[in-house]
Amino acid sequence: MLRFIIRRLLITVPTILVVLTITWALVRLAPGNFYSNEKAVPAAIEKNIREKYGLDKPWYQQYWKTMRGIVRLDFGTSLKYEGESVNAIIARSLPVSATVGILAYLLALVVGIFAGSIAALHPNSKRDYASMTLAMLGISIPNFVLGPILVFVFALTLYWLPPSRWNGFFSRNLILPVLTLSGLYMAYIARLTRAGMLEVLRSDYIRTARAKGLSEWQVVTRHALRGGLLPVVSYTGPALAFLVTGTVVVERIFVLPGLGNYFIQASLNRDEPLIIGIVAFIAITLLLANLVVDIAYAYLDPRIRY
Amino acid sequence: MGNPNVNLLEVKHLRTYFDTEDGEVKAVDGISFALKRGETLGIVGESGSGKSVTNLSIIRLIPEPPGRIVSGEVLLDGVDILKLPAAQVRRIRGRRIAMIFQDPMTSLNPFMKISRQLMEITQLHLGHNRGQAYDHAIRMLEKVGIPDARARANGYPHELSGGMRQRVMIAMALSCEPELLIADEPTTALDVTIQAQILELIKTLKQATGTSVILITHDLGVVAGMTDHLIVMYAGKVFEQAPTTHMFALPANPYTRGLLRSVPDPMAQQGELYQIPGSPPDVAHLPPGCPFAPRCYRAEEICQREFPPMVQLTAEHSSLCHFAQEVYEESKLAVAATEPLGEGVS
Repeated sequence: MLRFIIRRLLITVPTILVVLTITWALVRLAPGNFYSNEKAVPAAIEKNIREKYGLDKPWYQQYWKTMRGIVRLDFGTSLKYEGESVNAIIARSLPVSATVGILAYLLALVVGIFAGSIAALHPNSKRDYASMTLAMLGISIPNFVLGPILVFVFALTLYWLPPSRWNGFFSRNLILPVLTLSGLYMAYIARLTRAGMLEVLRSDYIRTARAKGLSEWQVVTRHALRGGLLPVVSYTGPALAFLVTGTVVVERIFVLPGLGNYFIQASLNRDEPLIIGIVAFIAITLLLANLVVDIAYAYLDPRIRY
Repeated sequence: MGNPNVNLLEVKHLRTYFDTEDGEVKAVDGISFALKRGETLGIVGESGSGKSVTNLSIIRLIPEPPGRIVSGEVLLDGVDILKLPAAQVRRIRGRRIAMIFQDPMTSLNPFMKISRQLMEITQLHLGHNRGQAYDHAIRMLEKVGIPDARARANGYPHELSGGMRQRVMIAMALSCEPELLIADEPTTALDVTIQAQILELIKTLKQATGTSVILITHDLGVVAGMTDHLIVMYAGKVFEQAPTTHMFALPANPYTRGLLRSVPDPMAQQGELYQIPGSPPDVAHLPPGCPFAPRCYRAEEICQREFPPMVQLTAEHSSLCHFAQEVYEESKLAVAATEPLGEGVS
């Protein structure tokens, strides 16, 4: 197990370097640059700017300079938010994104597992059809549609909740963005849970558990959930990746100062250090999260050994 | 443990049907039998004859829907299990009636330590605390012949061989000293040498504890040395019922005769092994007459038309056949022919 973890961590390093190289190249290949504006920049000023940021040097020297910084986890300073280091921007915006993302995923887990289990315990009942219809809707409606609908209903029509903006952690402002972000995962987890639980509930060892005289509740919680939820656990890895892209949209809709919003700004501004910094951060998070999922999997299923 | 002459279990006119897209399947259709304390009953029949459904019905483990117990009584010490509320049925399951299943590979929870799977049942029924339950689990594992029980108990089922897993199942089933053990094809998934060990184990444990056993199998070789009474099932019905030795010697039903003839005899090494022609009927669409008639060597016109009567041949021997008496006499003649000194079983 320890060898597996070390090996996976070692593979992480080249993976991230490849990701960042591609990112670096894509930023360079995209038209435009961070100092261009509607008005043309005078040639002399452009020459000055290019010298100041080292853009006059050959590409491999620039690449080397960027990568040397990254290895030391120093992503440099933003080109747009002058004087602010990329690390500081990430440190400031990460808690916002993490709060929304984690709350959304926890909500999705609780509601999804509950709805999926109910559906699996009463297959082809009204409850089953109701929850699976909702799940189908949840999967089909993209978050950039769901978000405005929720705002329209709960903020602009019923006046129950604020429509947007950041108002500190655990404020009412978080309810709509968290709901918007979790809708898809809730639906997906409900379906995964239903399928996993249905399969497990049909298995022989559940019959054994019932033959022991356990109550239906004990059968489900002690014997069925663990096997039935394995698909949900393995989904957590990819889900985190989609959460990241989800927050980009949701933070935009609800005007939250999170990582996703900065990422969009940085891309529009061709703010290379900030783009690379955020991509590096997300890549590391995802790779570590997937490692944690694999470890959790081995812990949950004793038959799996690495 | 009560009067040994009183029936521990009486099943009367049990009917369990399944609703399928193909119509109503009468998996068990009017089964009756009785079992005394300490006795072993064998139930044999082909796949789909209703053996397992009968026994799952006894402890109400039929998945509902699609299954449902239509009518009948299952009396355990005179109390009808089918009429009890679910909570009381759970107090019988595992405590008074325990089951072991066909496939030990899938019947144990792969995610749970063996010790916990064993402890669970005594904690539930005997009120053991963790320590008592653990000690009891180890004792049970030792009793069923698992070497190094302590180490094994801390492992998971996938670390054991099939035979060892079935031993764990047996240890689990016998943990609360049940009055009745239902073994549903306990050796079918195991190879032959392990089969013999497991059967021997069930036999010795049964003798030590006085537990009654219902042994479900399609293997006549298994029931021969194990059971006191035998029931032959076909298409959800009891075709023949008799003390085991009696049935082996004097079968009174063409189906039973066919089954007995299909058992390979290592002494007679000539010719092809007999097999009953055709295959078991589709229980969703049974003809009005005898369900075995299309495959029966003795079938006559009446068999296609009328459902056969249950013929009582002796006090303990009955057979569902229009020609039960004739077949019975044929068997007697056959015995007389092979044993000229007249030492036939009577």
